[in-house]
Amino acid sequence: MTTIEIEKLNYRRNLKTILKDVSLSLEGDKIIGLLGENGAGKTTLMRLIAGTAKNASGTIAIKDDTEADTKKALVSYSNPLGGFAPNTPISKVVAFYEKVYPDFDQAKYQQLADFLQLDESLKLAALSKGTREKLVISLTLARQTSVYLLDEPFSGIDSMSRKKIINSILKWKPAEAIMIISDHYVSEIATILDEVVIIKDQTVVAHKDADEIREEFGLGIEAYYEGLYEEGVTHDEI
Amino acid sequence: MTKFSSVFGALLSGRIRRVHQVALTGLIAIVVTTAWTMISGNFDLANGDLFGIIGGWSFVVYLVLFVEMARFTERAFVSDSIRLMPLNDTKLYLANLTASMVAFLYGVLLQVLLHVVGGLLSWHAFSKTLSEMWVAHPGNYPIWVIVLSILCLMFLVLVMMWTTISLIHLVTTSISLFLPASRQKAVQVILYIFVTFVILYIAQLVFRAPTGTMSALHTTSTGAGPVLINLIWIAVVIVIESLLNVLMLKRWVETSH
Repeated sequence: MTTIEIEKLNYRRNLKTILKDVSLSLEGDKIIGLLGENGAGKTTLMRLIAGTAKNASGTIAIKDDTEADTKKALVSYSNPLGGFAPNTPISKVVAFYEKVYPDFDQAKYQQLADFLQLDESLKLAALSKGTREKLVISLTLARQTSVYLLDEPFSGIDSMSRKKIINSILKWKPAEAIMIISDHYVSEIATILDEVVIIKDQTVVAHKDADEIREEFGLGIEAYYEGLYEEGVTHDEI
Repeated sequence: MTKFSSVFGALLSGRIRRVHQVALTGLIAIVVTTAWTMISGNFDLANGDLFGIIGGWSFVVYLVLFVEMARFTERAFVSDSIRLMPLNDTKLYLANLTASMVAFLYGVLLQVLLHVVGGLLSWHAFSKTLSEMWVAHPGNYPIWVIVLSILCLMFLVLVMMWTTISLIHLVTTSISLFLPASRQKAVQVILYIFVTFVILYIAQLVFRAPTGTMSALHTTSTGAGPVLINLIWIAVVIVIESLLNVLMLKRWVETSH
């Protein structure tokens, strides 16, 4: 069964086309890099899959299901925690997740939090960008779902935190789930990717297996990605 | 799927904390005002001064609670943390509105307790006011019918004001999706004013219903029919506004990250 099936997805916002004619089929238990420059539409595509962006045409099915609430139960999206008051302690955020997500695994969260050295007594306002991102990753991975969406998890954080987060992803990603990681700094995530999806000119211009890129093109993922952006590839070449 | 009780509990806890903060601030204001009145030498417990001070500050507390609960309700509609929960928009809408109602009623209960304390301390003045109200009550209905009708009316008007605020917020947010991104904030301010004006213009017809209820209680001699019809009319408006709000949540209202 295909895990994510996107067909003819079009999305406009504020009289501007953000995504057009996006079709994509993802399956297996892979880590997939969603790559594209700033403003390419990576976050929008993730938000459409997660169900927080609306008014798109086309279909997005998760495990053959197109109902919004059922899809939400199958997707764990790295929520930046903007809805919580700055003085909320981490323990309260964790309690919130435990209460509202039936698939939240407290034991798994604790393992992740210990591994990433999160201090639960700290309040959100006191967290550095890196620590906040570690919390977001821990909460996202502690849910037991079929799809994990990590939106730019390494943006603006130091190399030690990056390594810790990458290690936690590799260690705690469930075996049967798909994980999509968006980023525009390809070098950060290239080594852990099984497939790449590249967005350019408001649509998906490439969906390739990472090994295929290395073998067929004799290039690293970063070079392939940069080549696509420099040369220009049309939708037909996918 | 998230259970209704779970999302309701999660939404309620933050609101209850805010109710405590506002009620505590109100209590401090009552203590300070009472102390100041005593120091000034103008305080007369037997004359119901304490009851008056509590009543005055309670009005402010109710006003602040109303605004705060409206803010909680509206923020939930555009919050990633809330909208990512696996439950349908109808349940989310109902849990959100119910959480605000319950938290507000809890705030009212705290104020009623304060009034009881104030009433007991100024019993003479309080009992005199009560007996005057009892004797002077107008119309053909027993006093309990009047009290119950007024409570129902206040509750329904409160809910209608929240659903109307949601309607204004969600209509504006939905329309904004189809307007140019440039000068979005300025456009939204104008849009809010316009949408508020249009909705309030339509609502002015509806707001005649509460007035009708009050006059029916005072003057009618044709039974409880008109009172009930007016209350049902407000409930119908709440249902219609809620249906529109849920529709917009499903189709157009996105989170603001």
